[in-house]
Amino acid sequence: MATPRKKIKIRDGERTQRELLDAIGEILMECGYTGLRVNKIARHVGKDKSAIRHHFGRLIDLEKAYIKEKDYWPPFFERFQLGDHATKDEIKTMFTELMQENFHSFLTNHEMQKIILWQISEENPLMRSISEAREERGAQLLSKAMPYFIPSGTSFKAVIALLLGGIYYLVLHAETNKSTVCGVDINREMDRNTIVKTIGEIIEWAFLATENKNN
Amino acid sequence: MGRRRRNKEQTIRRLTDAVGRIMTEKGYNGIGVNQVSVASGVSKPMIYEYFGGLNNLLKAYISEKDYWLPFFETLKLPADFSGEELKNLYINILQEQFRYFSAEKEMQKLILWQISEPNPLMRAVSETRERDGIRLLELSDDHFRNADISLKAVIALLVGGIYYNVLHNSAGTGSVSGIDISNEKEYELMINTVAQLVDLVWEAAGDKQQK
Repeated sequence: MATPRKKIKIRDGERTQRELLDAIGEILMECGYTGLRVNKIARHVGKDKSAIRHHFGRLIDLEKAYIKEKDYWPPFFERFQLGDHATKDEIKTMFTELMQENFHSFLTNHEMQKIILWQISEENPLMRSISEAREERGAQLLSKAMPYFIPSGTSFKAVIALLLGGIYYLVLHAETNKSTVCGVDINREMDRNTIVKTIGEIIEWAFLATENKNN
Repeated sequence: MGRRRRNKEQTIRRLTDAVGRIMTEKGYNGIGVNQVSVASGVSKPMIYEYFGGLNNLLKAYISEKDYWLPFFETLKLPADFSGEELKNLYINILQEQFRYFSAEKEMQKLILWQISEPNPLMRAVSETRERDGIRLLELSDDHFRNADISLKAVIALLVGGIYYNVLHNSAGTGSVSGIDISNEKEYELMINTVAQLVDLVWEAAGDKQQK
């Protein structure tokens, strides 16, 4: 009879891990990142706070495991790849789809919204290391586009930095403040479509500018 | 100016300064009449006498620290100007927003507040900015007529992109898309890119109209 008992124990452990990860998400949604305290998390799952240490180690390790689950960038980087001989059009299309997909995913993923808000709200070594890992993967994609932009003096990196930030900001603004930004309200479907279209156009214009200068 | 009046002005200054200190040190969560009273040394009844409550004090503080509100107040548009002048005006406004926002930690805290929790005051402030902003944007309607290009969407992405990149940098989170604006060269690159993108959308609309 010893074996089935053990099985149940393993499942209990997994369940507690799951509960702890879910607790992070729920507290983040209700109170924001400032609510993420060991005592509060333990109370939330109805367990002693030693459970966190037992299953994850420090609080930061639990937070890291949670973000690893919710962050859509690592799967994005698996999906959006460029071969060594990718053409200019392929690169342009890839960046357009990546940015448009980022907009859609960010809009529907409320936990990711809280994670990004956390990232810009306080100095935090965990957030910095996650952002740096993302940057490293992004740099590999950006390096493919850069040769096309050198003669024109346009910085494609800066264009993407502004787009990326613009997407994050507009979604966070629409979620909390609910008012428009420059008359654009992405709580309205029509305006969401306009933003998606405009993301594509901005990338298109940036590439067009390189052609005019290269001629 | 009478002594009483000077005293009142000094008290008001002490109060708005205290709001700013609390904002930068503790964020919007730390703001309450009690905290402001302690930080400023001004009694609570006095705060109520001058402002009627926390909301009006915050409004006074925001209209001082915000980039947009004082800007729209002083903006005098010429009765008639060319499309080129209008384009340059937009570019200047955005580049100034970038510079001001990078330098002003207090406004950074305000914008962060605005996207961190639903708040009627912050919503009202946003709506005031929007009213004037849209008037300014609509001056370019002629240039974009029939072009099937949304200048508003481009500017919205730029305004948000500027806010986000500065906040990201202020939180010490490092680069965004390989751009680290704490590096002066890359900061200038961003300022120039803002102008290039406005140029590009303007050109694209012009091309479409000629067709």
